[in-house]
Amino acid sequence: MKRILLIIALLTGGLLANAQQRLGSTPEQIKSLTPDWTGERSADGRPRVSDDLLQRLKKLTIEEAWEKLKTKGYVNQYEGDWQILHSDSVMTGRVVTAQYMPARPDLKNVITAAGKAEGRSQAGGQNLWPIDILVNGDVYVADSYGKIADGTLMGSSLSSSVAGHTKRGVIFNGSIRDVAEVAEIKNFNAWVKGMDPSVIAQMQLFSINQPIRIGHVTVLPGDVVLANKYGTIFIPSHLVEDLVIDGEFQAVHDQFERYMLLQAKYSTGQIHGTWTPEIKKVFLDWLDHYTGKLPMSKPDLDKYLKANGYK
Amino acid sequence: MAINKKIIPVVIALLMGFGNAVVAQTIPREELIFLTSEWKGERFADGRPKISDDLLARAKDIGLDDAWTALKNLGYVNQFESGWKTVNDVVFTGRAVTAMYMPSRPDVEKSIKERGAKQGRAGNTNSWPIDILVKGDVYVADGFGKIGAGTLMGSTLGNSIFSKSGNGVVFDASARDVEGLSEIKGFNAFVRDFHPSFLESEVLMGLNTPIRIGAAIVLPGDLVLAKREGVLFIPAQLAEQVVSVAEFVSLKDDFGFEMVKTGTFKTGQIDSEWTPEVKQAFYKWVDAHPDKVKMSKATMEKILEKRTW
Repeated sequence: MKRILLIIALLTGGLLANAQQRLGSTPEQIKSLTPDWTGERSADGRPRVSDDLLQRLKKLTIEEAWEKLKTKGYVNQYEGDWQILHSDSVMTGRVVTAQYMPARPDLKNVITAAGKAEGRSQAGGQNLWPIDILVNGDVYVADSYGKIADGTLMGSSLSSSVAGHTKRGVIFNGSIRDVAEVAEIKNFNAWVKGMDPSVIAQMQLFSINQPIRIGHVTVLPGDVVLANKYGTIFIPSHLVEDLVIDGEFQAVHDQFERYMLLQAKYSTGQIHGTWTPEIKKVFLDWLDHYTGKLPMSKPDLDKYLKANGYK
Repeated sequence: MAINKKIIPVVIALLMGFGNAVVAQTIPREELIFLTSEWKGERFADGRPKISDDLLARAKDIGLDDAWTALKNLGYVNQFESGWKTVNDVVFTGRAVTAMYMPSRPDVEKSIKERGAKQGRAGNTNSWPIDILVKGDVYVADGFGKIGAGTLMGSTLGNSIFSKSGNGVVFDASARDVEGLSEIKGFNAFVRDFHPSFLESEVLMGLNTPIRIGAAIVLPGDLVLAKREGVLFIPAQLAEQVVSVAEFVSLKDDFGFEMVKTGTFKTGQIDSEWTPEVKQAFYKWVDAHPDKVKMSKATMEKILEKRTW
């Protein structure tokens, strides 16, 4: 009996504590949002896709990622139509999400209390709170509902802070200010819907690391984003590895095709069509004598070849 | 043992409640109360503020602009949204039930449907908000302005909504079968547009969580005032005050009109700060028109006292 009462006390306590923690998701909440991820997690519970994969992902095109996601049933992962600070650089990283809402005094009181209970900084504005938790390799992704004037989430100071923490940048369904100065900051890039000289007004932070919507995409904390000149694609953490190896294999595969077609030993259809066992053998032999540096490790390649019927 | 048996369902309920909190979908009662902690009145079993039926009825007659001004003076400037298409010319008021839709993705949809099944919810997620509607509710949904394949209801669901809530809906989304919807007597829908397609590739991510409808922010239990200008979402704890102030503005206008018409006072006397003489006349006029006054005498005196001219 005492034991049961204790359980109840713990559960109610948990519930109440949970009710107080309305602002940032707990590690348990993030885990339950991302049950398909079985690998390492950050201390805050977010899936932690490896730095190596983040680096390799940079080489993929948006289309390669888009096609692979589509075959897996993920059709709402791409968002385009951005203003990009440095459009020639490619950014990949692990997503931290933040949701902004129109200001409302009663809700602001609740959020302020929640932030205080969670031990968040009481100096400066609440729009600092998502930045405070960023670490190297993160990308700060915020839904500020496309608000441009009076919707600027950052200027040059906060951008410097993001650069210092993440060496990456931000993706905002909204705007930034101080762009001339922001453009000078090293290790920082921004994909935004607009730029405006005004200061943030009549809006408030609502949640951190909850699912948010960036245009056509539902984005979860720990998703991996690939952002380049042609847009942004948000990849569920558990699909990143497959997607990268698939893309890398495709590149090697295409290289082989070009090599063979230049030899003109086989007909175009034999090479640029479904491969016979003979061609597959030639391919494996070519791989064995591959002189350049393969993008993936040998064991990873072997695993891929077996899984896809080449071996 | 008897006590244990009683406690076990409580433990299970708490566990399930905790499960709800884990994926932000159905908001747990405690969290809803915390979010709306400024509301001190009656609540539904799920924790949603329950403003009185009487207030819902009174709100139908107030001017939306007067209520908007009252809210603005209280510091609430993001409570109105315009730019709607409607299916009928019906004004409605009610208590907000909020729903947030997002673009679907298989991993999230799987978790939501599994959790929903455990809570006894069936079918597609867009029927779940409708299942919980009761009389006097207004179903308010953020469907992220999606038109094609963003139709949150056709005439079947429209009929179901109206039979459960006796009220209209507000969708930042589209609806299908406008003719069928307009045939539902007493029903109205504030939507962004109409489209013949079915709803596709969307999933319910929040039920009775705070949502954004365009420039407005809506909490469950807000008083929804849907009129020709657009929709105003009045926080539950301010509903009585806002409705009374709006009623007062209309009383003051009626009184002033009569005073000026009968030559009792000049327009300047009515529109600037009232002298004791004008106040006296106002109270006398109020006593002579009991049918026009819906607020209590105490409320009226408080408004008169606070009013800045």
